[in-house]
Amino acid sequence: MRNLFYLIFNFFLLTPCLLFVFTSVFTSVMTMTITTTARGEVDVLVPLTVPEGLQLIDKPNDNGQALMLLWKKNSSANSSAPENDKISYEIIIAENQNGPFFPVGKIIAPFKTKYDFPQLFGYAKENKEYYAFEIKGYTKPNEVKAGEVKEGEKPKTTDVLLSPNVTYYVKVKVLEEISTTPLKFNEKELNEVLSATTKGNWFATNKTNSVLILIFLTVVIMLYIYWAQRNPHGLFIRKIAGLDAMDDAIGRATEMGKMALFVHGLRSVSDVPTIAAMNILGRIARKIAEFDAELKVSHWDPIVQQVSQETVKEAYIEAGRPDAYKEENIFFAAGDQFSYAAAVEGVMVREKPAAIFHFGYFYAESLLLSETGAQTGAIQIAGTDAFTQIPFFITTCDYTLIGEELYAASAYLSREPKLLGGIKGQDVGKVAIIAVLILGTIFTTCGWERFSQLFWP
Amino acid sequence: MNFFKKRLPLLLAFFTGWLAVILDYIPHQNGEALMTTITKGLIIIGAVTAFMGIYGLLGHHYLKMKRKNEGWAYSLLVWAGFFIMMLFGIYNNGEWILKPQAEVGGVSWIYEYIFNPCQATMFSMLAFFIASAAYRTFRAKSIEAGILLVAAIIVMIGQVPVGILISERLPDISQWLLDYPNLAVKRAIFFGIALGGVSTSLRIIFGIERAYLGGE
Amino acid sequence: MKKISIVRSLFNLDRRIIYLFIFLSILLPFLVKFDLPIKAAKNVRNVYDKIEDVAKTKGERGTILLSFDFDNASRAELEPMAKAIIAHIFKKNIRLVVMGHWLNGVELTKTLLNEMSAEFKKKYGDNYVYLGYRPGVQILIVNMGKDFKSAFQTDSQGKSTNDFLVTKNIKTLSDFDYVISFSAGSGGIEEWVVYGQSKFHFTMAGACTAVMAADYFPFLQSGQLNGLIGGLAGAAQYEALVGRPGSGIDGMRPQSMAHIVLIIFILLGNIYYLTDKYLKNKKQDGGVH
Repeated sequence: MRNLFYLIFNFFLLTPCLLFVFTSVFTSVMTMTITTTARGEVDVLVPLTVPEGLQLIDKPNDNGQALMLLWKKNSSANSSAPENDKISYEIIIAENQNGPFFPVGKIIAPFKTKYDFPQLFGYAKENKEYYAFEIKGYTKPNEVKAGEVKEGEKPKTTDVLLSPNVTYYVKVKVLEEISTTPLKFNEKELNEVLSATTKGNWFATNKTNSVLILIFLTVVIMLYIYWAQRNPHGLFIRKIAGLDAMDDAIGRATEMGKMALFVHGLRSVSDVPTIAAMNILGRIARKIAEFDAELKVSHWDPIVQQVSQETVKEAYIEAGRPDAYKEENIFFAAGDQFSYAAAVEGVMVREKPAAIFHFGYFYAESLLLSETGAQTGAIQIAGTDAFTQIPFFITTCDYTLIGEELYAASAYLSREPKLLGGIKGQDVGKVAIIAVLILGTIFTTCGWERFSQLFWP
Repeated sequence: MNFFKKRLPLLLAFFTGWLAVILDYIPHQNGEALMTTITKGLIIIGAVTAFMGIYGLLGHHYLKMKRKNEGWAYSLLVWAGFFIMMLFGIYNNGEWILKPQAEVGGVSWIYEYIFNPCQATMFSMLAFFIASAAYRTFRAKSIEAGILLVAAIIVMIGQVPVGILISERLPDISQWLLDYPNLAVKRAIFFGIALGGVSTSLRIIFGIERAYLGGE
Repeated sequence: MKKISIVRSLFNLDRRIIYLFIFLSILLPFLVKFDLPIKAAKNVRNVYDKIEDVAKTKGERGTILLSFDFDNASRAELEPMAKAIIAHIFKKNIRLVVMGHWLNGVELTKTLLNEMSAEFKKKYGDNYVYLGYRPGVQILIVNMGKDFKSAFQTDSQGKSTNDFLVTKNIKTLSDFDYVISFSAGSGGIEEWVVYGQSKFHFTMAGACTAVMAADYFPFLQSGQLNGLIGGLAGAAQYEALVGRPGSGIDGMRPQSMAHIVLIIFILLGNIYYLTDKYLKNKKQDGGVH
């Protein structure tokens, strides 16, 4: 039964883990990393009376459900003039060249340029010379039988979205406001009928840089892991006081005959800090089993609890003490942030653990937990990658692992070469990022933005 | 058995992991449809975990009561709270469970007048704990700690309106401290965390890190 | 020796004394009213300007999504800003869609929406819709980004989202003119940025508790968030911008006082620390001579 559960767990929960953690953290972080340098401001744009060089194209890098209307900035327009909000364009669309045409909407000043859609057209300066408008759908009047619509009542409409692999025909109408009271327009419908076919894309070209960085990091990290396995003695890892103190904390719990409490953070099993905490729990549980002390583990998420139970049980088996494992000690405290804090604080106050380990991602409850732990006199070791909670742990705990130390802990405690190799590879990645940041800063400061743009999303 | 407990999960991790990576780069409608199907399945799994939570919670407290552990009365309170809330939820102010939860009635009352004040109390305790922790630990033990102390005081005053009364510039200085020195440090930590995340994910995808599966 | 022991006892001041002073510094300003100047920070103003911009460019067709990712614990900090922003949206006749990633936030969201819609005489379905809670957080956001109607086929009362004027034209997250997450922890701004904004490229802002605000500054600089309202101070600033004083502005008095008391305690702690160090050094010097 447990195996069946385990299978289901692995299939459905590792999927999101690997699905989201890896790709999303990676892409979002690269986005953040890359956009730290300043971007140029978009010029104040001047609309035209009659759009020049109209083009209709399929929207690049999309699922095939949008078109882009492009037209050239009027060369005769005075670029220093303020935005002309008297001019607007009305777009109509049809699935047949001869219609019927349905309204897409009005484009009013200030218009967007191709430069405002860098995910589609890149960061070339020439893109500022073209206006761009995205067509996603149109409004179609509902079919009505004669006599159904009462006089004075607006006819009902349905919004239709563009479909993939369909050829659409677009016409543009220019409106010029000639008086505001009463509102009057000069209208001019252009004769030109533009056409384009919607198409889904199999690769998001705007993510090419992300793919290359992904390949680079994967290769570097895997190479170092491979290298580490062949040269297990060539690796150095700096001292992490918090992890060295772990044995003392467990030893203290054993001597005092009190339990050690492991507090999980508030994230699900698909998040990296939770997985890192789980790795540390495995090592701690093994030591505790060897020392014959008692371990309790609190959880905020029932799935994390299931995984913890399995991890601790395996650790006890490996330590040769399967009899000492108590399933009820790996407990679910509460599924709500502050109820969880209250429940765990209750355990701390009542049972006065000798050692408390806080590992994972924490929010505002971090201080409630660690301050209560400090009041009970326990040795406290914390590890989190939550920036805002690091100061709270530092002020209340004896040792705190900051940021990536949490991820390195598993390798540090086990001293397994292949895990240490991963950390080495990570360091090379870090050196590469530092180099890019320094170069990006120098080039951008000197007014050459092309280098930074290579890394923009 | 080793196949089901070790090899199969690792294979699944490998294939689903790379599938996820690849799907992130495919905007095509077919890729989108596959992703939507996967995510829908995950939402269902997410909902099922509620039952696991209930089983774990009630089971844990049942054992405490049965063994008359210290503080077992609190466990009784957990059971009572759970079943009272559930009964009110089922009764649903006379509408019973097949209708959407009523906006008035037992559940809403318990939520508003018991759960709400309890939660607010827990959160407000932070103000007291921050004060006590800051008093104990915020000491100018070195020049660096002294600089930190001054910066902290500027930010604390600058973030509330009283800062403007002291000096018009104070909120700007406070914001500058947050936007530049503070952010630079954070970003540095963030890079480390991000790379650590990538490295940990890779170790899991390639089956190098297995501690989460319960073993080495 | 005696001097050192006095300093030591002050040094190890009973935490309950600190608690008492903090309690009084919060309680008293609620009873004694005085005005404090409020100046909107750039990040708060950006949110205000964006909503004004949606009203200007989209008019009544503009649609804003608010995600209430908090519960009662942080209600005191987040509800004032939620009220101020909803008031702004309703004043400008922009369509409003509300949802939440926190199950425990459902009741408070309903109460808040009922109160605000009654105040501004807004009609459910035509002016605003409450989608309710769905599990999944990250997965839900991705699903909404790919196909909004499959993630939310119905609203919180089980009615089809195709039947409401507000939601019938929404196909993906990118169709919202603005997305704001009111966040108090896991399942909030960060998830919206990582799984929503960076994948589907919509304009979004965050509103969060004061302690979390610093977490999101990197997203502001990278442009992934266009604005950020942090804590009660941020709420007070937004209330001042909208011209609708509420509990945010009211809360500035106790918050200011508590900050001052805390600073006094930190300074006192340092004075005791330095005095203790001085006396210890003096004693050691005395011993040598």
